[in-house]
Amino acid sequence: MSWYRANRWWVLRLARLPLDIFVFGTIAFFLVRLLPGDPVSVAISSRSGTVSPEAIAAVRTQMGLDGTVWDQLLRFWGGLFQGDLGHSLVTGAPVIDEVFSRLPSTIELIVLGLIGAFVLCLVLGFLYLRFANRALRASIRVYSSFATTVPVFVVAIFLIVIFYVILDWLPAPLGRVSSGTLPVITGFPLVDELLTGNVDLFGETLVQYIMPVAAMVLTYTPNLLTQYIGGLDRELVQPTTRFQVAAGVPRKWIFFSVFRRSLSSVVVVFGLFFGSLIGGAVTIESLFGFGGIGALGVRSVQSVDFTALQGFLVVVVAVCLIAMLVVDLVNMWLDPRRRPGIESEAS
Amino acid sequence: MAETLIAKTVQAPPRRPARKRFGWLRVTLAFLPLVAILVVALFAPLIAPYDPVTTVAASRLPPSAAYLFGTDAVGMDVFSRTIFGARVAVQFGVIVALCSTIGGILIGTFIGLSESSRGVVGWIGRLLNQISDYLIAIPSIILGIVVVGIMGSSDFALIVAITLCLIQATIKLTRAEVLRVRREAYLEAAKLAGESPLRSALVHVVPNSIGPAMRNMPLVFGNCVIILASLGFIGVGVKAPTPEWGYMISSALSSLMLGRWWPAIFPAIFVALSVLAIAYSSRAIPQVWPYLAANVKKRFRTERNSRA
Repeated sequence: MSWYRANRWWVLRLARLPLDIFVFGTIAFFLVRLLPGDPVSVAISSRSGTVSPEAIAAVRTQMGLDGTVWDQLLRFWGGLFQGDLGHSLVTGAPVIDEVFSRLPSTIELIVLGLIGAFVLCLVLGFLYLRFANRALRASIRVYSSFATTVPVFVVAIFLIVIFYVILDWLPAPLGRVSSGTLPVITGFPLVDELLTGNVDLFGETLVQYIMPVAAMVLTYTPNLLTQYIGGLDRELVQPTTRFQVAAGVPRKWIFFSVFRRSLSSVVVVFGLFFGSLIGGAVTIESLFGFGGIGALGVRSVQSVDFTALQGFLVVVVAVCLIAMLVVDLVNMWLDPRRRPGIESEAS
Repeated sequence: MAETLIAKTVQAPPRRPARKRFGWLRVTLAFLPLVAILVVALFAPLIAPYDPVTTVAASRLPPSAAYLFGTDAVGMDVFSRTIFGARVAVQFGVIVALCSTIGGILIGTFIGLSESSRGVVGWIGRLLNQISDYLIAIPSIILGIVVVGIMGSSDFALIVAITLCLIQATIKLTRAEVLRVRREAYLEAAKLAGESPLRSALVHVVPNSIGPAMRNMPLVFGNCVIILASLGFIGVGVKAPTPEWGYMISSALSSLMLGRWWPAIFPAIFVALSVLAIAYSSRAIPQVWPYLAANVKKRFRTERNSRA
C-alpha cells in the first residue's frame, strides 16, 4: 500500500491510457462510417457482368460489413481488445501489419529530427545562460522569435533548391535508397541496414536523411527555444535560485538546477510536436519520397477503406496519447512539484 | 528570524516592465506586415500582370522581365499565380479566423458556464469539453484529410476542416477566462436583478472573457495559412487550377528534381514570408493595442467634450 501511495502519480496516469484509446477508437469507428461511398459497391464494380444479390452479400460478409452498425461496433471492440484491427478493404492485408510496417520508418525520421532540434535547443540555451554576450544573446533571441511553424516542407524546398539544384552537394531526394530494397527486420530502416551489415545502404540512407532532418531541426528548434529561454529567464530570478546562491551552492549545480527546472515546457512542446508529426510528417515524407504512415491515411481516405482508416486513426491517436503520457511522466519526474497530490506553495 | 532574513535579502528585484515609448511608428510597424498581405490579396488583380488560371506563354520559361517568376509546366505565369495565391490564403484565413473565434468563444463560454453544474446542461458541457480534448490528440493534417474525405472536396469542407483543427485553442482560452469571470460580483448582481442566464451570459460574460481569444485570432489566421498549404501539398486542398501555394509547390516538384527551381521556390517563399509576417504582427499588435486603444479613446473623449 505504501508502494502505491509513493507511486500513485504514474500508476494513475498510466491507467487512463487504455480507456482513452478505447473511447477514441469508438469515435474513429463512427467517424469512418460518415465517409461517402460504399466500399462494397466499389469492390464489386470492378467485376464484369451482372452481380447477384447473394454475391454482394458474400462480399459484404467477407469485408466484415454485414449486420447493423452495432454488430460491427461489437466486432470492432472485440478486435480492439485482441489487438486485431481487421483486414484492409482494398489490399486485403491485415491492417495491423500495414500500420506497423510503416510506423517505424516515420518514427525514425521524427525522432531524428526532433532529437536534433532538442539538442540544438539545449546547446543554444546553454550558450544563452552561460555567456553574457549581448550580441550572442540577441541573436539567439531573434532566432527563437521565428517560433512559428513555417511548414516544414517549405523549409525543405529551400534546402533542396540550395543544396541539390544550385550547389549539387546532395543527391536528388528520391527515396531512402537509390537502388535495391530495404531489408526489413525491425522496420526502422537505419537499424535494419546496420543489423544486416549493409554499410553502403546505411550511408546512402544517412545522406538522404540530411535534408529532411535539417529541415525539421530548423523548423522546430525556435519553438522549443522560445519555451526554453522563457523558462530560463523565469527560473533564474526565482527565490529557489537566489537561495541556492546565498547558500553557497557550487555554480555548476545552480546551472544544472536552473536547466532542469526550465525544461518542463520544452518537454511539453516536444511531445506535442511528436504527436502531431506522426500524421503530419506525410508532407515531408512525400516530398522526399519516403513511405510512411501518413500516406496510408491519405490512401485509405481516397479509396474509402473503412477498416484501414479506422485502424490508422486508432494507432495514430494511440501514439499521440502515449507521447502525451510520456511528456506528463517526464515532467513529473523532472519536477516533483507537478506530481498530483503534492501541494506546492508556489502556486 | 530566518524567515525575515530570507524575505528581505533573497527578494528578487522587481522586474520593471520595459516601458516602451508609444509612437505611431511602433503601431505602424506592428500592423504593416499583416496589412501588406491583406493589400496584396485585395489588389491581386491589379498587381498580377496575367490571368492566373490560363496558359499565357510557353511552358517552363525561366524568370525574365516579362515573366518575373517564370512560367510553370503548363505555361501559366508563376508571378500572377503566386499573387493570387495570397488572395486564396487570405480568403480562407479570414473566414476560418472568424468562424473559429466566434464559434470558439460561444462554445468556450458554454463549457465554462456549465462546468460543475448538474443536469443535462452540465453533461453537455462535459461532453463538449471531452470532445475538444480529443480533438487536440488528432494531428491537424489527419483531421483535415478525414473531414475533407467525409464532406467531399469543396471550399466549405476545407473551411470546416481547418476550423475544427484550430477551434480548440480558442475554446480552451475562453473557457479558462470564463471560469475566472464567473466568480465576479457583477454576475451575482445581474442574477439578483432578475436577468435571464442567457442575457447575462451574452451581455456580461462574453464581453469580459473574449480578450485571449481575440489575441489568438491572428495566430489562427497564420495557422490556417499553414494547414491550407499543407493540405494543398498532399493533394486534398483547393481544387487544381485555383492558384493555391501548397498545391503549386507539390505540382512543381517533378520539375524541381530536374533543376527548374522557379515554379516551386516562389510560392514557398511567399508561404514562409506570410507565415512569419502574420506571426510578427500577432506578437506586436497585442503589445501596442492598449496604447492604441487608450489613445483613440482619449481623442474621442476630448472631441465629444469640446462639442458639448
